[in-house]
Amino acid sequence: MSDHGLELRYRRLMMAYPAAYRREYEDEMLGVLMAGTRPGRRRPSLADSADLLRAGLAARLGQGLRAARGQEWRDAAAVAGLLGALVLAIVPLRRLVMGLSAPYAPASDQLIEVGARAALWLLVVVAALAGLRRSAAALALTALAGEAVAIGLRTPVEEFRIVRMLWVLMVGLLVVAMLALARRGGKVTSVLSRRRKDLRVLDRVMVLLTAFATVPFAQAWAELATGVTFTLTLTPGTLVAAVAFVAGLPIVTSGLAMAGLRARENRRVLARSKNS
Amino acid sequence: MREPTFLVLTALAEEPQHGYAVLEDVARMTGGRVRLRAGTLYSALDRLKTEGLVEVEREEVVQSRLRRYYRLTGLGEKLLAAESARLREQAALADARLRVRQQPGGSPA
Repeated sequence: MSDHGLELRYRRLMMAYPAAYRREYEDEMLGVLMAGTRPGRRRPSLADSADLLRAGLAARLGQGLRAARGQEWRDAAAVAGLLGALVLAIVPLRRLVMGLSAPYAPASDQLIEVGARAALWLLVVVAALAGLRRSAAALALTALAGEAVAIGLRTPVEEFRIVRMLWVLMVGLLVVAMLALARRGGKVTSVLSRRRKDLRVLDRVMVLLTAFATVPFAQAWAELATGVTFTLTLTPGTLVAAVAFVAGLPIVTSGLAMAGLRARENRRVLARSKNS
Repeated sequence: MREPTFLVLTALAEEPQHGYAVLEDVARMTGGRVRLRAGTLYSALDRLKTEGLVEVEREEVVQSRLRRYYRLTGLGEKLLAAESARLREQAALADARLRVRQQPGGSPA
């Protein structure tokens, strides 16, 4: 029966929707879709297919965002964001200390640059630790802008500077995103000092840290693959490839970690419902 | 309020309707200009349901297919009335300005 084939194709398209949404609406939507199809038609129209895919993916995205706004993710983001800001403060701080204690001092403008960058991220750390969540997010954005300015100032003498510093921009972007998410979460000190550690929050901290942890690898591969450290020049192609690496890899790995976490928690819920 | 939302609420204003009837009604009301598709319709219905503007009135099974009839809630009615008033005001404003423009001696552009 041709109706059957068409119905099957509609059902397949509706796989774009989250399972809960399908349970609620699939049969009903199928009725609407079949009623709206000319008799004898074997395949869904292109417009209907595109509409189903778009609406399905939008529903999935909406579900994901709602989940990310959960309290546990906010708490985890507060912890991970603080750690990220700490790294961004420590790296230039170390350069500053090394520069000051070197037998022949590097140019003072370079010392000022690393000092300013360290100071900006330290402010973020202090604000987060003080529980000033909104200020921490705003300061992180300022510090990220500061990093961009620092790269811009150095570009005339070091054309490929932006590629070498991509990791800073990516980590900075992640910190801004996490602290923005954590604005309405618990204070990071109270999350960290809870006597009974919440495993669900810890799991989520780990997922977020996966993104940070991947950045150095992505940076090293981006430099190797594009060869900027040898050629010392920059082409638009090199830049695009490097950005794709440094931004893409952390997104992929943390996405995988998130999927793994969700699968594990779903299994746990299932096991519990079987036991009861 | 975006146009599809406005049209779906308008389609449900008089009496409860099922999904396919809403699609046909919207096409009829707009003279065929707006043809909602199933995915768009159910995104709107799902959102309106969560916001408490529409609710399921009854379910039927017709030719072994599930049919849900949706109706406007009290909140939905209030919101649609407010949106309708807003659109009317805007239209009146535009009309008034156009009248000034078309009057002889009125300031052009």
